[in-house]
Parts: sequence; structure tokens; C-alpha cells
Amino acid sequence: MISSHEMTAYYERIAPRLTSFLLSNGCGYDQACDIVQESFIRLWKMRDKLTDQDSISGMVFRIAKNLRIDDYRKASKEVLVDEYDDSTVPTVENEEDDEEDRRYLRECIDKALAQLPEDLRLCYTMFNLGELSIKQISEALGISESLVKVRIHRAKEKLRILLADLKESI
Amino acid sequence: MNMNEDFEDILVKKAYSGVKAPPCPVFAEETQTGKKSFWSGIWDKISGTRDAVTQGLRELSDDALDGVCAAGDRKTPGNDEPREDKDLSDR
Repeated sequence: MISSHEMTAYYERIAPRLTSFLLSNGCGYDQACDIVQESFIRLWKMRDKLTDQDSISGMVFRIAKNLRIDDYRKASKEVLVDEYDDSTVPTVENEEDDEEDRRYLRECIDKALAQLPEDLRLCYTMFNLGELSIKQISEALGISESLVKVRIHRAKEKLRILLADLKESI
Repeated sequence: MNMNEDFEDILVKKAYSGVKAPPCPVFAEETQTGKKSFWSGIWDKISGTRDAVTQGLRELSDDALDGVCAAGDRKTPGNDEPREDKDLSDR
């Protein structure tokens, strides 16, 4: 069984990626933080059932995705992108210029991601921000590995078009 | 299929690179003390219910006894003699 020390180590490794994944899928920062913590608490409660420790990342992402859906259902009306204020998102670095650039980049990326169909966005953000493997995404979403690859590929194609202007401006 | 990092992947990662995770929750191990307090909580609840039921029955039986005593005081045929007198005559 996983000890509290091991679970804390998992948390330190996975939580930043999970937070980014949730933010990229329309969560506000506070909501993302709540979901991240709740997901790990639920994982901790079912620790005696965890057999394959390699699948912990996939499992915690699946719990978080379901919690996100629950939240989404509770809130009858929700705006995907503009629901949070970027200035409230704490960041590690505090350099003002970097922060300004990142804020602008976040706006562009959020808008582009919001235009992706949800199934493509989930696969893409789990792969790119969540750093899950194709197998882990397939387990987390309950779809085949080949479908995960197709969705990531399609998401990238769409993003390439959506971010073309940004690419030229850089 | 190309799964390498492309321009858009780098931009997306860069956009979310500074995001800070929330503080780690406390993963409490279940201890013997915790189990004890859980069971003692259950026991307290049972005891409380038992006391309430006992008290209720006591009140009920008091009321019922009042009824019995009242019935005993009524004069019925064959029960005219006071009990005390009857006891004395037995001797």
C-alpha cells in the first residue's frame, strides 16, 4: 500500500501538470486547485486498491476529469475561457516582462484551445500539458490508443491553423 | 504519425509553464487511536440511545403503574376489604 510519504511525492510530481491541464480545459484557478486536491484525497482513500503504481497519473487525471464534469453539470451556465482573471493565477516567476508576455500568450492559447472540440482538447492537453503517455490517456478516457493518437494529431493540426497569426507575429 | 514537439506544442507549454500547483493536502494515515475514537463514538451513540430508551420506558412504566394503582383503588365486588385488614385477618 502507498504510504503518505509516497503519495506526497506523487503529488509534488503530478499536481503542477494536473493544474495546467485543468486550466487549459476551462477551469478557473481556484476551481482547478480544489479539483487537484480533491482528486488526490480520493486517490488516497482508495490507496489499498491501487495495484499498478504506474497508472496513478492516469487514474488521478481520470478522477480530476470526472470532478470537472461534475462541476460543469452543477454550473448550468459557464463561460469556457473568460471565466477567470489571469492576474489571479500565481506563477513561479515574477519578472514583470515575462509575466506580461506569458499573460498575452495564455490569452491566445486559451482562445485557441477553447475552439477545439472537447474530445480533441482533452487528449491533446493530457498529452502535452499533463505529460501522460498514450496508454495512460487511453486508460483515463476509456478509448483505444490509436484513437488517442488520431485525436492528438487532429488537435495539433487545428492548433497550427489557429495559432498561425501568433507564429508570424513572434 | 509525428508526435514530436512542434511549434504549437512549445507555445502551449510555455503559456502554462509558470502555473503553481495548490499546496499538498495532508494524507493522514489511519492510526489505532483513530480507530478507537471511531468505535468509542459509535458506542457513545448507542449508549445515548439506550439511556433515552430506558428513560422513556421508565416514564412509561410509571404512568402505567399509576393506572394500575388507580385501578387497584377502585372498589370491586369481592375487594371491599382493605388489603391491610385482610392481611391481619390471615394471621
